[in-house]
Amino acid sequence: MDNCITQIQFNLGPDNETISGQVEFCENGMRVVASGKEKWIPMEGVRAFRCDVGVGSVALEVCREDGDHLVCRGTMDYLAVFSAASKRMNRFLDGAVPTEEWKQYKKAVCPKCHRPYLPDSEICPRCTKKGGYLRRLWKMAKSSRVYIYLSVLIFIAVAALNLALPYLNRVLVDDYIKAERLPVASQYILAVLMILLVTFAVRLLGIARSFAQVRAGTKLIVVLRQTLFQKIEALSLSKVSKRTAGELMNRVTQDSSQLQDFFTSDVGGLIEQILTLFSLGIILFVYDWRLALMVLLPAPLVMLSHRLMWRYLGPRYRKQWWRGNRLYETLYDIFSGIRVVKAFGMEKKEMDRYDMVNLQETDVRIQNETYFAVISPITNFLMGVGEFFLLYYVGNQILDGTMTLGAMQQFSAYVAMIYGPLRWLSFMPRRLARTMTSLVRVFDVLDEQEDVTDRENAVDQIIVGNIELDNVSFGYEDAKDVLRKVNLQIKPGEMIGIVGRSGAGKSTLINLVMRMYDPDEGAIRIDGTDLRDITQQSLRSQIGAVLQETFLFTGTLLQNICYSKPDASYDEVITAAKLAGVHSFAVKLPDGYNTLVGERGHTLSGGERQRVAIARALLHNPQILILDEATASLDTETEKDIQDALQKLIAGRTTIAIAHRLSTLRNASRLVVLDHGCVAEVGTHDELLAREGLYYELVMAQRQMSKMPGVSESAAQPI
Amino acid sequence: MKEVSQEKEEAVCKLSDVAEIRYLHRGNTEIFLKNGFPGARIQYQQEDGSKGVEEHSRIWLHRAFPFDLLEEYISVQNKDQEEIGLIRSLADFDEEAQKILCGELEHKYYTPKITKIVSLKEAHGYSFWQVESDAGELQFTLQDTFRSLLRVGEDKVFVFDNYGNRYVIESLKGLDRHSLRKIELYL
Repeated sequence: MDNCITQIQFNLGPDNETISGQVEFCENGMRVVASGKEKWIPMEGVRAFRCDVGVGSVALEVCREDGDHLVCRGTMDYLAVFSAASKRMNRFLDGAVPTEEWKQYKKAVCPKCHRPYLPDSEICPRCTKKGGYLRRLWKMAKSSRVYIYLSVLIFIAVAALNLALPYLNRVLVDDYIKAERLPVASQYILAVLMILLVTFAVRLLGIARSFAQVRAGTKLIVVLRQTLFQKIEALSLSKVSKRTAGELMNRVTQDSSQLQDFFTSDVGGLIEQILTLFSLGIILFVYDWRLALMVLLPAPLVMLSHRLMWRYLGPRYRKQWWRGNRLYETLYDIFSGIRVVKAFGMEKKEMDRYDMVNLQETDVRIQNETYFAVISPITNFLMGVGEFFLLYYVGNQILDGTMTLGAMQQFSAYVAMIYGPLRWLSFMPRRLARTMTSLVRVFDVLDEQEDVTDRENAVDQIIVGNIELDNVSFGYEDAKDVLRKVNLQIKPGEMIGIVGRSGAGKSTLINLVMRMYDPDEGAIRIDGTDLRDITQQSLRSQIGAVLQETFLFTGTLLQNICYSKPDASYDEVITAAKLAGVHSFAVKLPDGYNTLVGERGHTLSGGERQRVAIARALLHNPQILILDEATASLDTETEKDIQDALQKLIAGRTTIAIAHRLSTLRNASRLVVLDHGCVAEVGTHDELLAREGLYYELVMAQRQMSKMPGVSESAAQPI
Repeated sequence: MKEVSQEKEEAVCKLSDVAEIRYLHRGNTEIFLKNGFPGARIQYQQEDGSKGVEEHSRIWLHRAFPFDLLEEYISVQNKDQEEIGLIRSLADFDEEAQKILCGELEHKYYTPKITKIVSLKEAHGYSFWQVESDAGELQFTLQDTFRSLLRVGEDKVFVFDNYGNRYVIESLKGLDRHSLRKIELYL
């Protein structure tokens, strides 16, 4: 047990049976215990550990001289556990010393309800306490608290005034209208005026309330959105790309406004309704307990029937919402692909598809409307039942002469009022649940660990351009290492071409140099300083990148070029644009550099967009230049022009370039050939050709292509 | 009309010629088991016409149509995920080989069959399932219930939980009334 390095649990047996097993990884072998049996797999001859990710299951395997051997299998929730173990064990095989930390293994399920945690977290969606979140939200609402207090106060005042109205009415009726003696006119007018005043005050307070609510809400939502936005921007690419852009947008806009609604209207409303309910209850009981009981007895029934109705209708409405959503998606899909639809003459088929989705939506809608039409009068009737009892009881009392007409009026008003809060409160759980969902989602982002952070003593550094990769290993979240022990030295001003098959780790290497991620092992140093000791701000301001996919923001051509340097002069912009080949097409556009581009503007071709991206990088004037397939979408002629421009730019700057078209890299001072995440060869074009290794193969393959008839000019470039 | 169809047929022939798919069957492939993993010995025609044999000590299987066809169109791959050949149907192999291939597929595509939905509750945007299946009683969580269910044909439903585990309801009609009522709201 002493030499145990790490241990894991697993849950699938050789015949897919569910079991509960455990593996102990020791220095000289692995002990696999499952269903009372024990198996020993010696470490001798083990070359590597591997996590074989299937489609519904995952397996941990060892590669030995005599082939692969299975260690254990589990369902997909064990992926994180297996992958952590295999990474650790591979590191152990590479000579790393196991630490105490390795012995801790992650549990995949919540100890309380035995459900799996959310992926990559130790949050159980069922058992997490939500109260803490509310408290944190309240803390964030600091700037809007005054307004929240104010709106709560107004809510209370409105509730009190609303209670006073029926009383005033009663006074009016009993003392003046039905009075036995003639009323004094001035008193009578005074009572009417009082009613008028109270009604007016309620309206006035209503205005004040909305004012306070709007203030409280907007302040809170601004703070929330700012915090969320800052957090998302601060997160590393890996954390951000885990979620889709749409999802993140949802969290920033919709979830935060859901919370706003809750804090501004629901909290105040809750207090108002509860107060109304209690004070009404007390008034009724004090006046006549039998009367109160009669009114309140059906109350639980009312709430229950309301709850039941929504429990029944709620999921059905959600289904309707989902179908409606699908209808919208289908329409969007067909319209955005209208060219394809027409090209293949599929108009009829698409019409049928739309009809079907439409019908499905209408079906649910009709069904739901029918349910609602039947159910809601019934529940409404149930809610009114109390009033009938009351009518009977009160009517008797009036006939007996024990109750006045005014008192009866007052009571009817109170009874009508008491059902309002009940109805409102029966909706509360639903609202609360929705708010909680938003709350969890918002804090899920806010609680995300920032993994790429500046070290405490990070400095702004002026970069000369010396890049060193020292034993760098890196893998994304799954088990495989994308880069393994990469060593590379790049001198200032050198142009390094990175080649290799797709999936060899080329883009990953560049991402690491730009510090989109931090390496798992080893270090990247610029001018001898670890990347983690340079502030990200200063690092990125000195790195220029032209990436494979160019993104143009909605705005003018000018704004897009200036993105990297907002204060550039017109001269600088035109120089950069001319060099990148933007100028030639920009001056042909009616609005020149002021042409609106991006999502809703003028659509530029792939090549034109690429040129804008190059102009952006040129204007940035960086010390380190990164070209990730920068000229891949250009035709050969334009590429040559831009290559010439780039050549001028490259002079004196450290450049790392990736290109599939090897001719693009003919000016590189050295070529690095990556294969399965390792550096396979380094050297100049001629050296590598002479070696007849992997690079030679790649070159030959491309030459072969250029001989094939019908292959475009671009691939036929001599290398 | 006739001419057109003939022309079309020719075009189809040409397509399959160009595609160069190597179909594996009992005539050219021997499947064996090594350390519990499947391997394959494949005969092929060399350029000079003589026969050659390539041996793969381990092969990986991948269903081309995992929701529609479970035992047909299986891509056979090496460890770099390059396709060595395609199995049109497991029936093209003898019983012994079929057993090995089936076993491997069932391992990779581990998909418990749901026989009864004991409870299905929704809260905070997640839905919590408790089901009976051929792998015993299971509990799992779906993140976005509507998007996590895939209906294949009229009767079959695949369920994907928030970890990427898969479950299948082979026949909706075969479910009891209570189970059906629970899942029906999400279909």
